[in-house]
Amino acid sequence: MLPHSSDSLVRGVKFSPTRPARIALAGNPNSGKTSVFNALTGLRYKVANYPGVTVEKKEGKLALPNISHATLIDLPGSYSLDTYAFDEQIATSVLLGEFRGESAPDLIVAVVDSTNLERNLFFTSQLLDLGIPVVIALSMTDLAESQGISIRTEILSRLLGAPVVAICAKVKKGIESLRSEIENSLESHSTGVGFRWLSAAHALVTSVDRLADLATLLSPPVRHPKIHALSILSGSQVARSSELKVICEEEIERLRVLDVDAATIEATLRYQWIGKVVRQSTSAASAASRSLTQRLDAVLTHRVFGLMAFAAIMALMFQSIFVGASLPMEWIDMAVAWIGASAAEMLPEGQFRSLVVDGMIAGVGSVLIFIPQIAILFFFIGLLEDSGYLARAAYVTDRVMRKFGLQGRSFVPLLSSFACAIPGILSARTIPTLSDRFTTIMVAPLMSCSARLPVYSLLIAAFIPAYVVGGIFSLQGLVMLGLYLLGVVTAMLVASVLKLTVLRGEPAPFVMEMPLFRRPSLRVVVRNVLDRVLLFVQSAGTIILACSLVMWFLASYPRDVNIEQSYAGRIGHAIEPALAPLGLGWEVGIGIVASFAAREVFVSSLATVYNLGDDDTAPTSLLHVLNAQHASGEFTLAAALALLVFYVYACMCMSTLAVTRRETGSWSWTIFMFVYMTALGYGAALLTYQGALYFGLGGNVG
Amino acid sequence: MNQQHIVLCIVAVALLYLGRKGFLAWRGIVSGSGCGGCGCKPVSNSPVEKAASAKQVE
Repeated sequence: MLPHSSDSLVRGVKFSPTRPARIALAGNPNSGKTSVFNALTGLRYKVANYPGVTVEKKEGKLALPNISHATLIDLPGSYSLDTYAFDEQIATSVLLGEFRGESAPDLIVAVVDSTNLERNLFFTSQLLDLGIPVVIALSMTDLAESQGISIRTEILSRLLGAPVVAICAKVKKGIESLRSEIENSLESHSTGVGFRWLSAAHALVTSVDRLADLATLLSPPVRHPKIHALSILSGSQVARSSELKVICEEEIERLRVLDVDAATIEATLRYQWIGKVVRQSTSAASAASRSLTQRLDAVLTHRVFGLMAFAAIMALMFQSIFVGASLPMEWIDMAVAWIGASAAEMLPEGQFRSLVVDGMIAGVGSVLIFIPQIAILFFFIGLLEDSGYLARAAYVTDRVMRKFGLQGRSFVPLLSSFACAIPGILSARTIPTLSDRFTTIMVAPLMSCSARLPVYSLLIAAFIPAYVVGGIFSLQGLVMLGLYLLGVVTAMLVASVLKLTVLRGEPAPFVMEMPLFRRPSLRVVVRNVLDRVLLFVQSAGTIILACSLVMWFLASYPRDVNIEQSYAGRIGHAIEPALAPLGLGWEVGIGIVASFAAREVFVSSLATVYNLGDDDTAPTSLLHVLNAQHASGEFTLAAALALLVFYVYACMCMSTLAVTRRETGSWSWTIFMFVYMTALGYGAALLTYQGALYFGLGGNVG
Repeated sequence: MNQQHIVLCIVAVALLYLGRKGFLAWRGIVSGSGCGGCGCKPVSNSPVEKAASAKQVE
């Protein structure tokens, strides 16, 4: 009989040291699962202070002293086993052992946010019912302490019937205790006692037992008869046999007569039990930190001030990218020029020297110069992520996005797309409604990713004068902000067109947990910046280097001909008719074609082509070449603006198309994305150029 | 081996590298595996996730 009949005694498979152990990390969104995962495995997956960072199942090796092979699985956050969003479905199916080809985990580490114990324990209470050994990791204990929350882990452990370990993953506190508790539980296979919350409700116990007994006879068998019984009683699942359905209706009616609502009774009883557990194991919290969060929220989530604060933060970020990065960019430029000049001196004259100086050093160096800007962009994003501000930004933008048929839940995927569209498209898994999810995927690549940053920076630095506007704002920074906004505004418009036509449907209500504000961890932020910079350098050392070498070959062969007659020149001239209406020449055409490999390759290709075209042996700064072309009127401001607009819109990333095909499961949507974005890019660039000419911006301004 | 041979060998290696990347990206699109050849591993190749994704699309 419930509550003492732990199904696991019958169903659970005792862990045997002869096979690898599988341990799942589960918990509410933003409870710190990935931090625990990183601390236990030594891996470095992305962590941030907002819900929905993990949207896929991740695995890592867990070192345990006496168990040779153990795999730790980090699952997307979930509030309950009854889920709707795709990322949550993954978590539930893994935990229930319904993930095809995979058995249920041998142990679950339930990560519970100490600052939000009551709400987190709801999901934990469901995990305790699964009949799988559970170890509870009380996370964010440092924050709980700062709020005056004191949790007596031994009492909590006794009440929940599972070991509880207090941890602070950020400083690796309690991680070794957690590791040994995991090993002890695996070895003892202690499943504890499930369904404790049900002990007070005899009427429901009878109903659940009756339905569960019947559910065990189903074919194929139900893995968790009691959980299935509760699900059909509450109406979140449909009974799988007519007999079960009839009995279920009888039980719902019997409960109704007893004044028990079958749809809500589970949640009510769980929360009653959890309330008791929390009262007995926790001392009252001080209101200090909460009131700080509340005070900040009063401004940052305000209907008007919230949007103003958001705009100010964004403006500050883009100003800093230009102002803060200018000096280190000059240093890198000088270093590249010095390396190029040294190489030119050391190597004997010939093709190899040209390949090294004009191909490798000029190409890769022209991209590496943008490292400071990438670092500043991700430093700001890291600060916003780790402080807890992003959830507020999602809240304030929800009102705006709703007007365009999107919802606040789309904010995180769209914001992630500023780094790269791929994680952005994956984050759309947190959106439960299909029409909203697909709309978000379709517009995510319109957000300017970091690969566009070198193209924007180069063209802005070369063509937009460094005026100061309003005494504080740099015109270059404002143009950069304008390009990012152009992508955002266009994304909203495209989303509203899609929602009015092929992806109709009301946006679902937006519910998002507001994490507490906290001081950003410098370690996390700096690590995030280093990761992004290393990724950028890696890309420069691989794909951009390879493209520079190929571009050097195309621009140098056949030998002994003018660059305009080279293979690259011929390709450039072949597409020149399509580029002429945009005011762009054949050299830019080569850059555009090459940038379908990666957008940054546009910069390296131009650098290689221009360096091969001049008479200097040492590499010439691309910025200086463009400045000279601007001054001579060879490359006009109107054409530069058209090119910038083209790069805001055009879909030039094969990886984005691959992940779109994966996430939508559809060719049509993938082709649609490529066609609409590229057509929009060309059309908007044409309008920009012609418009700029009309307004007299065709000459050499600046 | 003269300079021309050396540079052509280097360019050939670069072309092979880019060809492999392009092939991976194309295969990622055609198979729906999601691997765009960008060096990262954006999603698991687990058949279950693929099935779950297809189910979601339905």
